[in-house]
Amino acid sequence: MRSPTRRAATAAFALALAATSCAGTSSADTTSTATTGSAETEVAAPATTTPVTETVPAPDDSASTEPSTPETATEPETATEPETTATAPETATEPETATEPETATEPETATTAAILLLPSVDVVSLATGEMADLNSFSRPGATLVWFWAPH
Amino acid sequence: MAQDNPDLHVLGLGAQDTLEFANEFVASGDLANSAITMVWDPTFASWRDYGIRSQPYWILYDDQGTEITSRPGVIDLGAVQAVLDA
Repeated sequence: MRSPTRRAATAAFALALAATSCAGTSSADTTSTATTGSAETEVAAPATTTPVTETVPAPDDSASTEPSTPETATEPETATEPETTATAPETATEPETATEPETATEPETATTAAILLLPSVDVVSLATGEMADLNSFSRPGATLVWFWAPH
Repeated sequence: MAQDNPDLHVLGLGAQDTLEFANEFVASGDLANSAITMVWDPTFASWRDYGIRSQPYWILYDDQGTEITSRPGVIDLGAVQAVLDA
């Protein structure tokens, strides 16, 4: 039989061993885990933070979205160009129609001269009293020129 | 003659004397209301250009502008009509 002192000493020793082993193992594991965990957490945190921060630049994307709005504003400018293009046809319309009648007038004069060309002399129209070129009295068809004097 | 032949254009080309005389001549012959186009050349240039040295004188052109007849004196209506009928 053990003495109470012996028992107490044995118990205290066993407790000490148990405490030592538990503390040693658990502390080592805990430390390593804690270290790893804290390290990972710390690293992970920045890693997580970094992406978040990178996401912040994402506003660059939103910024790129903002420009997209101006781009939309630029599109109207492009729409203005077509308007200018639409103006071109108008210029094409002016031209043109007024010139045809003028061309139509020339042939008439040419036709009159071809039928009978009179001397280019200013004479007095006795019907109106106005001076005019003798050729302005030429008419198409057969012509009889009668020379007369008042006396 | 001009009134009977609408296809014939008669141009009365006067010269010599004065404009006042020319107007009196047209009025006395009632030519203002006729189918004849009456004009007066104060410079005599047109007559000189044609070589006219006496009056009356007449020159007939067909519808192509070709001279058919050119002679002094009274107008030969038969010759004019022959051209119109051709």
